[in-house]
Amino acid sequence: MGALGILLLIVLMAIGVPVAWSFAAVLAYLVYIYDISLTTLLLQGFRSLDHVILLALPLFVLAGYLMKSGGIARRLVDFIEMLVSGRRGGLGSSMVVASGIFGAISGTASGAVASIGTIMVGPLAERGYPRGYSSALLGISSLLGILIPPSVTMILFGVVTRQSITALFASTIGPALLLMAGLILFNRFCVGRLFSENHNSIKKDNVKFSRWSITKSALPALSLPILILGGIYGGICTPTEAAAVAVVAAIVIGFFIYKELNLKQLKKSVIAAGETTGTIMLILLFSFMIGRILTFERVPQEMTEWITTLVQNPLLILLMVNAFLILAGMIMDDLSVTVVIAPLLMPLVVSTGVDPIHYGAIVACSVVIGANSPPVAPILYMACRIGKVSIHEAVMPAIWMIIVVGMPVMLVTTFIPEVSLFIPRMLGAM
Amino acid sequence: MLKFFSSIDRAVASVLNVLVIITSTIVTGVIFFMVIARYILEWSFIGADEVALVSAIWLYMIGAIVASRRAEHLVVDFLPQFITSPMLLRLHQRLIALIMVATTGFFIYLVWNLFGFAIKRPQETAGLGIPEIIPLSAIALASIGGFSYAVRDLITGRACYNSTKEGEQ
Repeated sequence: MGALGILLLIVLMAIGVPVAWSFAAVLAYLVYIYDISLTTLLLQGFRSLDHVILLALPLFVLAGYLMKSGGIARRLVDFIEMLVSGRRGGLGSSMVVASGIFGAISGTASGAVASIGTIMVGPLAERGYPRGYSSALLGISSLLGILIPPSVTMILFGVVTRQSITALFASTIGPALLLMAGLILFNRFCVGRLFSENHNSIKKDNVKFSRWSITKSALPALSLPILILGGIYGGICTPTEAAAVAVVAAIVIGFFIYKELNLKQLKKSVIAAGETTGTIMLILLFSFMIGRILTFERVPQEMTEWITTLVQNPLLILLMVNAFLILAGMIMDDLSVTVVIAPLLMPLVVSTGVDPIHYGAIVACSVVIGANSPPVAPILYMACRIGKVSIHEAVMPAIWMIIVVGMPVMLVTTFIPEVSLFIPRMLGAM
Repeated sequence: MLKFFSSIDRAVASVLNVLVIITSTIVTGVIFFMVIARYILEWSFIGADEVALVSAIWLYMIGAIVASRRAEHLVVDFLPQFITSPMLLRLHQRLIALIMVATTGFFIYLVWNLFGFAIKRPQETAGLGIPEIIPLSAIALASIGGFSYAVRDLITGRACYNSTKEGEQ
């Protein structure tokens, strides 16, 4: 009966019901079939939402918006472009690295798509990169925002599964570095073979600036990841406090150093961030209640028992979980996979001896693949809108990037636990 | 009549925007102040997290109403993109709006039950004694806001998703 709830969720989302209200409908269904008392159900959902660690989410989302409007993203791109200019596939690689650094500040993928994409898609096209290819590369590299801490996805996963956010943040650094390296190599392989890079058509806007002036200008932007990650792993502040520091630092840098942020843009960013936060939190409120009902009715445990009677080999179970998470990501949005599907599979995965923090990294990798895999590929669609290209032109490059880079990274993360657990252990986060 | 509703909508939007700005400022300010207070002033502000949490719940819920008003809730808009017939698209939009009216109606029913319980057994936060009914009111407002905008979408046939938006991850 609980599984029918998941099916209902998929159907409602597939026909275009907003995700939050699809969750509300599933909640209504579960309340009806399990005859749940409504008196305290919403109160329990509210209490789960009323959590200090969750405050990091609106703050990191706001920091992302402020970075975009405050000129921080542009300085990052200029700096990285300067480092890799002249090399084969340099501009594509700089988009990958810029997305990674952007992810180390904002915590969201869409922030990276919008900020890095709007700056880089034009120059990439001028240099001969096909728009479909560059949109696909933008889509998958922006998902480094999910893997590189701070990550909104990992905050949500940590809250619903009650795991250490600091350890989860650190667990995705290894897979993120692998993905970044893989994408750079993939891009280097494609340039010159699938299309040629036209170095003569580069509009060198930065030619008048020296390398030093570009570096100097980028220093405040580059200090943000150090401030956030150093604060968290240096034991100076919690992820929530680091998020508040990031917001204040982004305002100060945007207003007083780069002078690109004004009151009008600040207001716009705050409202946009509030709206984004609202959409996520409403989904989370309903998912908390759904999760509580499913746990109370022992649905995850029953599912675990059922699957382990069919398959006993831990490797096969992990492969099944990988496949299921990717399939779920292909037909559901990443938020639903993180807050509903992933916790459901957690008892099964833990029963095979996998550490919950390691499982968090596996989920993050599956979200990266799912968010770029059609039919439901929100980040790829967004990248195509920014790249001004039809989705059909970006699908094949995106699929190749997933097969050649994304899947191997997920498999390595799944079957070599040290890839995800080495850094949290080294930092003493677990 | 339409002009009247438009002016009400604009007024509501202004109030919502102001609330988002106020609550965001409180959340950021209080958390940032906690860090400054601890390291520079060497002072611990008891109950600061309670103020931040109450403001955050208002921020979450007002943000959700803003998203409903602007039809920017997260949507998997795969199917609508493939519907080419205008009549089918209108039918699809009404069907989605109808489902939303039903689900938001259920949300109101949940809130109604919660309020019955919360009024019978009032609770306060431990540090500053902030009544729990204050953050719960934000959830009530979100349920009413969500329902109102779902009804609007049903009556006007407006799409409950914004096809030009840049979704969030």
